[in-house]
Amino acid sequence: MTSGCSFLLQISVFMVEPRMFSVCQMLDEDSVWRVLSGFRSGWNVLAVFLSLEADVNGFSPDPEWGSCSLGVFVCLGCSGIHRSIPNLGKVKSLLLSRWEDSEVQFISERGNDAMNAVYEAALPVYFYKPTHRDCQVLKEQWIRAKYERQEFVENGKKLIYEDETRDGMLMKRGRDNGQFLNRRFVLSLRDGTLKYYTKLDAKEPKAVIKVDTINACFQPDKIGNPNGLQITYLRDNITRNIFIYHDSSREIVEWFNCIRAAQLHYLKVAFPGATDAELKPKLTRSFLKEGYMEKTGPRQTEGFKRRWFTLDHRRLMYFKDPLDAFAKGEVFLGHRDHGYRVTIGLPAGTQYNGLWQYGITIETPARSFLFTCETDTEQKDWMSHFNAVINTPMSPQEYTVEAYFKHKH
Amino acid sequence: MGSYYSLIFSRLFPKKQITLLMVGLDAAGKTTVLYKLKLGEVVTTIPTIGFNVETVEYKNISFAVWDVGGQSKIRGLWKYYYQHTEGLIFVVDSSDHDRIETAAEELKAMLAEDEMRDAVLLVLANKQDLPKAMPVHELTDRLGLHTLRGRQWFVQATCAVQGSGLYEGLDWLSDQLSRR
Repeated sequence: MTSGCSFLLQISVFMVEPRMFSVCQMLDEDSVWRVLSGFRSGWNVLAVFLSLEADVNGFSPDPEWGSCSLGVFVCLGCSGIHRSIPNLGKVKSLLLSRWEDSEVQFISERGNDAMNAVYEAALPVYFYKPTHRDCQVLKEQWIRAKYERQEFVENGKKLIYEDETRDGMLMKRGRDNGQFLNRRFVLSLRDGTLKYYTKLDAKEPKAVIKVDTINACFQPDKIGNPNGLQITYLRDNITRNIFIYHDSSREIVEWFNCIRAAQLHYLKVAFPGATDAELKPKLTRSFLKEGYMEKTGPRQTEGFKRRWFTLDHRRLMYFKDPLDAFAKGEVFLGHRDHGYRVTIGLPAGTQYNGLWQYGITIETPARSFLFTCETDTEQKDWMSHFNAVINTPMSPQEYTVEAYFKHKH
Repeated sequence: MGSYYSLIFSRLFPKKQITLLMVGLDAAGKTTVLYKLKLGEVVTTIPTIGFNVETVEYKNISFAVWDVGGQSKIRGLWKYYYQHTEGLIFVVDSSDHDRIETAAEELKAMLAEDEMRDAVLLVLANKQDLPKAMPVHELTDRLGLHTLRGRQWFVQATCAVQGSGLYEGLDWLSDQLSRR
């Protein structure tokens, strides 16, 4: 009985959510109840559906939509993707659609946990499963791979991502002229390298990149293409960015997962005893934060200049332009016990001679850096990320990286 | 000076304004049609909760197109958009054999409304690219359009994601409505 009461309470919370306000008057509580109470798995599923922190399918905290043909709940955004794929059948709103008894019966016998056990039965470790924060191309291709192509249903099936080599053309942004041109890329699982060639018949690649130094992340807004992918790699401890896309979203997501598969293959050799759970976080990662701040030079008397900042875990980079190949500078952020400090505001007596007024000071053993943000929200957001980084203990590998930085300066 | 002449021109030949209401069952492709007309692009859509409205300029006519969500429980809201509607665009997913009867019923009920007495009807037989799409003549039969009396209507085969058929539909609407 108690769960019943809390259920009604939650329903009312759900109804006053601002986004749903326009439909409140039309809400037919009976039918919501009918759909929900149809679940044989009981309050468990209800809890998943109603609790706002729940993350069904890894996507969204409010799965208000259901797929009548697959028997799973999805959020509004994913329902849009589902209905755009003709073979996936129908999606209906839990609040705005009428559900037939047979449909209620069908979804009640399934649900996300049961269906994930089927459609993700053979999901490889390296395959990136997006969250609701990820970009559209990743979500759409995930839904296509999982439900439309059913790639992860059968165990033991060799997937295209695990091919020995992947050879194909991608549009790559020129380092100096900013023009996107078609380039041949070759990813080799055995060598653990990604190569690219400027000419189709070229014998020597323009660059040979070791997969263990690569990071890849989707950057549709920054690159200005929905399928835009940023590949970052290190050479002599200097970060190099390359920006690529492919007109086909399936192709670009395949490349992304192939890179992850090659990285996992390398890591398995490098760390033979490690478990999949230990290796997974070492594959590609998203940047913690990116955006504009102003900064001044080492003497702190120069004018503040606007720069694009990228925080890639302990590595803070700044660029003149977000799409620059190389950073103008890179700062290592170590642990607070080793002389790294982040404070809000600028040191007393500093002239705020830039446009922006919300200061942040970062002290490293080598020097201090003064930044300004446009708004206090931005300032707080950067502060929380910087603090999180310097409060995290350093791994042995990170001490090596720190030594590189110290050596360079 | 140029702006002066264009002002005179627009005073002499004012742009005709036409208000269109676009409805249909959920996932018929209404929002995709709207933004294909407005932007010439296929946008990624999510189910419409409420409505979208855009003005589309075509052949010196300014179409105000109202695209209203089609989920079953919000179809009751369509009636709030009937007033001042000169043309009704009814979008049908031609590949949805299961719900063509439902679509026919919704259309029939709407046309029976007094406020829709004078509206011309353009049916977009959308998603013609899909393998199981019903052809125009079959849709015409199943929607019962031949039984309509005193109504100007037309069925246009479309594929909104490719943009085919959309301007042919607008051509028909502008022909019908500019005669008034």
